[in-house]
Amino acid sequence: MKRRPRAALVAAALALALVGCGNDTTQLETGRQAMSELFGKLRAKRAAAKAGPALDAEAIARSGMASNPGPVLIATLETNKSTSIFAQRGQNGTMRTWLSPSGQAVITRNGLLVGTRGFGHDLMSADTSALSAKLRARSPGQAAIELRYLDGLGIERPLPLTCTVILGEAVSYSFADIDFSGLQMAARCEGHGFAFDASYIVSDGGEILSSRQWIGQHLGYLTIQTLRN
Amino acid sequence: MFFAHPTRPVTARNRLRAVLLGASALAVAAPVLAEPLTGWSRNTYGMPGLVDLPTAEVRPDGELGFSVTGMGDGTFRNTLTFQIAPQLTGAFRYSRVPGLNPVEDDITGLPTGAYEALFDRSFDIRWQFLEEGRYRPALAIGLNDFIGTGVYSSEYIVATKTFGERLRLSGGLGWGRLGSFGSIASMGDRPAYDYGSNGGQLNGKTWFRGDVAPFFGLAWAMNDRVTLKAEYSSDAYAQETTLGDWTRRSSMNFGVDYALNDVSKLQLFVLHGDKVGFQFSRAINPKAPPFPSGIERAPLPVRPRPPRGADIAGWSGAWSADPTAQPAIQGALADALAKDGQILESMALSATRAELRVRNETYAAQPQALGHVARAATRALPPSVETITVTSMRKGMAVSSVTFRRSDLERLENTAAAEILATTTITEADAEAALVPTAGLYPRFRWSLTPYAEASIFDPDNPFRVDLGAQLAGRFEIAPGLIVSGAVRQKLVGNLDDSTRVSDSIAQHVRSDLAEYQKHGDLALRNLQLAWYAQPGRNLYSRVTVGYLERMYGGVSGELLWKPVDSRLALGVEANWVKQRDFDQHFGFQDYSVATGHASAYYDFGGGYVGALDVGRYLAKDWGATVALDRTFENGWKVGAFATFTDMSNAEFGEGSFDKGIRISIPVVWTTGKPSVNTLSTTIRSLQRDGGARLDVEGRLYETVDAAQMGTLYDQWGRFWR
Repeated sequence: MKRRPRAALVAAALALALVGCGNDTTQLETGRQAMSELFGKLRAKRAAAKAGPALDAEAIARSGMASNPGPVLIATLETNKSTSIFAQRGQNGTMRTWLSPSGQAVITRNGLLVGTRGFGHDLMSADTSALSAKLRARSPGQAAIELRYLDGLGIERPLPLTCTVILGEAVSYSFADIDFSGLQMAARCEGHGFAFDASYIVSDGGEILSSRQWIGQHLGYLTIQTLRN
Repeated sequence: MFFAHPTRPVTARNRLRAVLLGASALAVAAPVLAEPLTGWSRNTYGMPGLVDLPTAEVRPDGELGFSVTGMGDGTFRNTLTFQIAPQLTGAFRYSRVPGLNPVEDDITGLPTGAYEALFDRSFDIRWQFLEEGRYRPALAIGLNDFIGTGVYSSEYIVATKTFGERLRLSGGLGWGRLGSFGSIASMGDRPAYDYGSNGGQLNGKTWFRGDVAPFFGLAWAMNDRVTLKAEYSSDAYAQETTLGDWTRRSSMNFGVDYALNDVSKLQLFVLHGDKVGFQFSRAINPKAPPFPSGIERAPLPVRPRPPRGADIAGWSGAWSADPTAQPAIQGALADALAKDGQILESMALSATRAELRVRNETYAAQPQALGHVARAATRALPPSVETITVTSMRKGMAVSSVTFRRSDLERLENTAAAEILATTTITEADAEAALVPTAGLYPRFRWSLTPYAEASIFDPDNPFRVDLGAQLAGRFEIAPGLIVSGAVRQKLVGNLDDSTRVSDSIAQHVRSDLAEYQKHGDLALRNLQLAWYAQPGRNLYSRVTVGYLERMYGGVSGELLWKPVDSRLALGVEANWVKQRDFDQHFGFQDYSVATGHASAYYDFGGGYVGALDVGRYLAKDWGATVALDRTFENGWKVGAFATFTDMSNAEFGEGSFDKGIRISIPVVWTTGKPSVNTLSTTIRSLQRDGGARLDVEGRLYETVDAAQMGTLYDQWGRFWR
């Protein structure tokens, strides 16, 4: 009988300790991560069981524009089909930093992808000025770019590529009740055993309205649609 | 090769800079040269090899490997391998060999004639001294079990050559075990090994002595997953045949190796036509984390200043005369950094300069923390502030200062990390700075209730025991660098207290009573201490800790470290007076007390190799020295080995003869991708005895200071714009 309260106390302590509690954030991650991983897996299982229709990108775009007063874009990572709104949180010259509600970032320069954050195999930075000039001028030809990544040791490694830009046809389309029209352009970039095909729709003013761009070997392609510039 | 040379010219400002930039250039140059021949599979000892035999192969540089080998007679070999350098492979093994250990009579100590299983620890080393060429084979020389108890001792020289893409032939000469069958010559005397001895000494006198025998074999990579192996073995398995149930029906061994995935392998083999066995192995490459860039939230970007015309007052610097300006700016910055997991401890601000003293509690790589602070500063400081210094604080000590020009931060945001590094200066912190402490930071209390696990893995009676429980820890920071901390553990379930082993040490039991502490520490005070950190002079750091310092000792510990911000060399002294705690780990003490301490030198050899030498008096009042060599990877992984030699005799030390071991430290962020300053660390000792034992006090200075000084900052600078 005497042991009961102690057993209850121990059980309560165990439950608390398993999750980890307190205000010392440097000590709590083990329990929290284990729990969040467990719950994440359960949630994913439940979500998979439900398997409802995928969220409509246009609906996401409309609600994203409604909740953000400033510039907004919508982006989809092709490999896992995840779509998110990114709102502009900073501008430095022609470079813009866009953040998603979950804290991921997309960095663009003149509409070209020059960085990502929080995706796990991020594009750290890129020098795409020559390619950008070709796209803005809507002129075909060759352009050298450099993409930079962190290797497994955390050391930054540059990947220089040569891009060949070609012109396509003029297109008009509408997305989330907005009308867009521009010229289709494509770039094939190659070098050091890597190759990718990016495509863009460039407005008469030389702005990239929508695009399919390459983050890197692991993450693949990101589709970007500008909603409010 | 995937990545090319950076296009920037190398403008080395100092040696470390050259090291940093050289790393990229090296990555391009390396593939042009011959690369070390990397093994397709492992042998029964866990080393790159054939079935039971060695080859001249290596593992990928930096790789850690774990393998478990089991055989039909009850033999188990559990091996940890580490590719110390591109051509140097090391291994530590814990094996069970049935029927090899003579049983002594409990009373008389004389052999009874019976035998039991021998639990044996062994170390191997292999050097591939010649890389494979177009016509010439790779050549390697190796020592097996060269400081253990000697049951697996052998030496060899071996050649391996690849033919086409799928066939490799290996052949060599072996001594010791590998010279025990089919010998062709003999080179001097090789004393027979005494299985009852303490072992653990460098058995150098026997290396490459005695009978020499040839061995050879081949490996055929049938496809990307399956490798078939066959060999002619020169190992007689003499002891196993004499004492165990081993029968050597043939000299041929056969094996098949199957890759389950990129990192795990399963192997089946037949040895000498008699015994079948299996092996499971797994490789961990520190250079291949699951999330190389991390998956942490993105920081807010740089906010460029408005043009002069748009903020005339801000650009004029007149704001600095307003006494309310600094508190408002400092408060806003402190809030922004707190959201980022960093603490703005103090700040100095003038019209043109700002110094932020920041403690990083979130990011493993200090440059990433610095990058976040610098960006936050551009969002909070008035436009006239052009010079921004971020000083890294560790336990109240200002460890280094990194100074940026704000216009460089604006101009170079999200460009190659080396660009901003070239415009940055890293210096010691200014001792004279007019700092204003952030209001409301101290006193600061932090606590946590977390699970813990404690395991015992090398007890022959039960190779795996574990306790699980809850730990309540608290940290009360009275002022910067003045910290009371403690932790209490309550065991909930476990079987560590089942251990019936009693320390047989004839020396003072300064460490070997671990099992007693594990048995009696149901509710245990792990530590309760007051620590005071300070900077008594230029490049000097100090620590004084008083209280229940660790599980087995309480007392007082003092340390002084000299470590200039850009120095490869650091020197330290530590002096402690401690008393041994009671087994129940409450507040009481036993009778034993000791003054122990060391003078230490640390040297960063470059290339990630850091050496340490500690000379002094150990817990059992023995005098001696510890040598340690760690390989530190840029991402924070550390793998190292240490050995301690003291004036305690081998006989008094007991099994193992001297203290030695391997230590591994893995940053949590490497495994999860989520930001964290913590590491998973473990020390694998062949055996914890009483000689060469040191006090295990928390928060020693070298690691505390080194993580934010120049060498480490350069190594990890690639994360600045993360």
